[in-house]
Amino acid sequence: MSLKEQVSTSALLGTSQKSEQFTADAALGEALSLLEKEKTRLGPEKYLLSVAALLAVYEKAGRRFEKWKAEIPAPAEEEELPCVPLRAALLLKSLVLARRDLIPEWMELAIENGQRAPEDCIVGLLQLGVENKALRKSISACTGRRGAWLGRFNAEWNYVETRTSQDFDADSVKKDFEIGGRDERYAALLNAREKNPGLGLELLQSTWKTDSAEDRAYFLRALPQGLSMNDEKFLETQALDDKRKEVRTKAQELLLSLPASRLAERARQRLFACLQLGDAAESGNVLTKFLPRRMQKSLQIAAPESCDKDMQRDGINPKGHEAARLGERAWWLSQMISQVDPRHLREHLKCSPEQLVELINSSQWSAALKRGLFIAVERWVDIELATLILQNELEQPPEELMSFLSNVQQEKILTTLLESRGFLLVRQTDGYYDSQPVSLLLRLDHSWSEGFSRVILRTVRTHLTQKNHFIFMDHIMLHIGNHLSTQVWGNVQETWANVHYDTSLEKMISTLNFRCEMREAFSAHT
Amino acid sequence: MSIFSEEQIIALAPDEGSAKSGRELANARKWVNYFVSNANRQSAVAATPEQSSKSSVGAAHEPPFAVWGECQGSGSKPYQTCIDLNGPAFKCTCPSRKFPCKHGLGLLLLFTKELSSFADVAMPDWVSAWMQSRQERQEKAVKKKENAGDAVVDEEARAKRQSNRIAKVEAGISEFQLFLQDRIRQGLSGIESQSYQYWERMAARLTDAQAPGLARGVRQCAGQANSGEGWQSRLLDQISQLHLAAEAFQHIDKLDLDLQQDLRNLIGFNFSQEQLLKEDGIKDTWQVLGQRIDVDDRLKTQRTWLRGESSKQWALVLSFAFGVQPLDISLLPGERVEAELVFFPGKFALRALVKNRTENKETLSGLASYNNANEFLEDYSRALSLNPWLDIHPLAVDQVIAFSNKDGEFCLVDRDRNLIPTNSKYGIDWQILSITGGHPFTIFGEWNGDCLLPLSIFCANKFQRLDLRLSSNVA
Repeated sequence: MSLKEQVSTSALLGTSQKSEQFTADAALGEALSLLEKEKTRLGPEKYLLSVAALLAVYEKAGRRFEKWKAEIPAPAEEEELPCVPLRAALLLKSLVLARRDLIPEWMELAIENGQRAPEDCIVGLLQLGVENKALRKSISACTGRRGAWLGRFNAEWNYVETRTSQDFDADSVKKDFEIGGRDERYAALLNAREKNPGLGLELLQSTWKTDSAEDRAYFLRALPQGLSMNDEKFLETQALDDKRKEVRTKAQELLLSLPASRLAERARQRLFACLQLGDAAESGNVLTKFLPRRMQKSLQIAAPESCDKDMQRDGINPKGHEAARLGERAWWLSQMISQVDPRHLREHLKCSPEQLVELINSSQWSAALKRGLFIAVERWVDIELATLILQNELEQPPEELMSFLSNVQQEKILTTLLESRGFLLVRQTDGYYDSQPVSLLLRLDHSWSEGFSRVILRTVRTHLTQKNHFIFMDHIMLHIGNHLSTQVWGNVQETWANVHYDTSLEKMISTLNFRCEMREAFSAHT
Repeated sequence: MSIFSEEQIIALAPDEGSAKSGRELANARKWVNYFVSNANRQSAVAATPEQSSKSSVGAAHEPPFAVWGECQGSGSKPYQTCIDLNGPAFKCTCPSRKFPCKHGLGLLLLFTKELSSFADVAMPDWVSAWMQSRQERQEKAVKKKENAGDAVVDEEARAKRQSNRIAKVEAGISEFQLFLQDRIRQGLSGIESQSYQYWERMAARLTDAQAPGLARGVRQCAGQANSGEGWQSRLLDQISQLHLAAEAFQHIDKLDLDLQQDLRNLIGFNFSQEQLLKEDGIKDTWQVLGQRIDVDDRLKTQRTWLRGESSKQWALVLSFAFGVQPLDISLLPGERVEAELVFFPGKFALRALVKNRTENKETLSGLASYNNANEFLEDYSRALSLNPWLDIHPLAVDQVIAFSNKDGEFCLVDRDRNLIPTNSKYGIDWQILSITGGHPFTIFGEWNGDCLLPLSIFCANKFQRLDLRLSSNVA
């Protein structure tokens, strides 16, 4: 035991337990023996404390640093891009404190101008990208070589490193999968699936029976990478019947995305048995003879009587109809529709997208059909159908469908809606003002084109003159402020200077002015 | 110092929110009007811009004296804000309890940015009344000090006061020693589960006995006891240092005069600053290397570290602010100032006061530093041998490299591969890594015998102060 440890132990136990002498060599020893001479005068407690004090200062004074023996990592490489001008750098710092929502635009401007973020902001930006996956591309571009270097030291920031395609080493991947912890195994599996999906499947199957339920569910997440019919057998025979619900659900999803899989075929057959195209007259609606010719067809629906084991195995949930506000049979029907690619459905019914929409709208089961169709459209990314639906569904547009339309298409839909309905606000039962064009507008997350920006400004101006119904809501105005084209604003800024402000309009204007300043900050020559 | 830099003005802000609001208000559009007065001109008649000459600041030969303006807030009448540039001192009619409020900060920032757009006019009544009362108050304070200096020092009374105090301190220290002895007899084991009150009670007794420095030391014990793994040796070190001080105080007359001062300092006897300012100090060009602000309850302590270029002398300037008072912004890291510093007595001179200084300020183009860390340790040992109670010593080393090792720990290595342990509590390790990028740089910080707390770095010819307020660098 070292002297320090001896003293420490003594202090912990207390002098009532034992009272010790402390000795050492050389100069320390001399000092200690001087103290020892005073021991009787001091008493055992003060003696111990004095020795401790002596030792503490002795160690502090005599300390020497350890040597670092290992390698020192290479420094970051020289940056290619110049740093943003000072004004832009200061702006970023205040954005971090006050307006985080404008950081993506700041980054876009930096990239446009071929510049990079200042070093002291890099960490903040990298951290932003951990949660916000969509921003990762911009962040990698803005943080330059320094960001990539930092990413090497922190696993969370690894996304910045541009992975150079290394030669795929099947053996090392196998080994990693066999002996690693859960995360390493997942990474190895993913790696395998990227380069050699067959090997990936083999690896997964090799431990499938013995892996825990959580692991099985977790690993299945790697399967979408490189998914093909080769995986179908495993999914159908092993995963689909798994004990764990998560595993089964995932397997159903994967199989549905493979049109040639047995599950997809079963889903189609099941649905087509229930849905037929027939004459409108047969639906029992007396007025059908007054309908135009093209609407004289209607859907004949034989909703399922029960939800049997096969249906459940394929992913139809027998319970849950109350939450969806549908009848039981309607609920099963809607799930069945959601499992079939709308293109296949149209083929079966031999109708065009417009006809399909109309058929569904005019059917008695339209609520269930629509619900299922919307899900199917989202799943199989049927853009044509999505556009049609959005244009027709004025009551409660399925907003999620907007997300996979292109920016141009989104703007087009909104222009039509705004021109016909303006910022019409509707009072709901709980007193909350909402509006269909507005809630769709709030989903437009890109920088708006000049034409669209002008439409928006026109609409806002129109509503300024109406006094009664329109209340400018802060979040709407802020959204407009964030996305309107700064080029357009720059041109019309003057004309808005004399408009009477209310506070939410003020927010839009000040945001727009700020963004114009921000754009200029990048070209400032210091 | 009539014109302040943006950095100094932001340093006055009581918190981040005020700084941000202040910046937003540094915008001409937010102000109904704003003016400057270049001299102590007062007029009986309310001044209008047309009556006085609209000269910009550059034309007048007198320095700017006061700045004022009106800002439209959420109330019906605009808020009136004025600033006495000698200080600076702020007054505003807004209901905010922060000091200085965002209007004051914003107006001063605006003044710094757009000097020429402030018309030079005579002060209106509401401004001149405030400036007048400030001046009167300051004159009174100066007179009071002079009177105090001139007053006949009642030697007897003073001697009596001093001996009373010493008696009190001695009593307090005896009590403290009994407390320590009891504890050591029982043993320290189990003390980590004691509540904070256990230490606080003893600290309060010491404060009552007029030994606030020791009281502070006792409070630190509470922290050490709760510091997790290895607490035993940390606590023992702290306690033994306090014991050393207590024991030494009983034989204080046997100590060297300078060491006596160090001991008195530790215990909490204050040395008269007025006395000190009368002495001669060291005149040099001083590099302001780093600064740290500690907040303890409502008291803010600012430690500013300087080093003389020719004298190679280290200096620590302390300043305090209580509650909402702003801290002194006359020394900012990254500057070189010509000044005369007077040092508090002690065996190892460190704490100092600024006696005189010139207005000149330049930015640092390099940091005076040790070549390698072991050289520093030699100086540190020497300092400890002079004053064993030395708690913090400044440290600057150049050509160090910062990186992260395989286990994700922050490492700092000097040119001879000495590994310098650092305190990465405030999230500054990532700041350092991102600013330096693995390239060599010069680091400055505080060494407490155990690890280094980095305060500033000098990299790629640029001085950068590290931001210790961020607890994590999350955007």
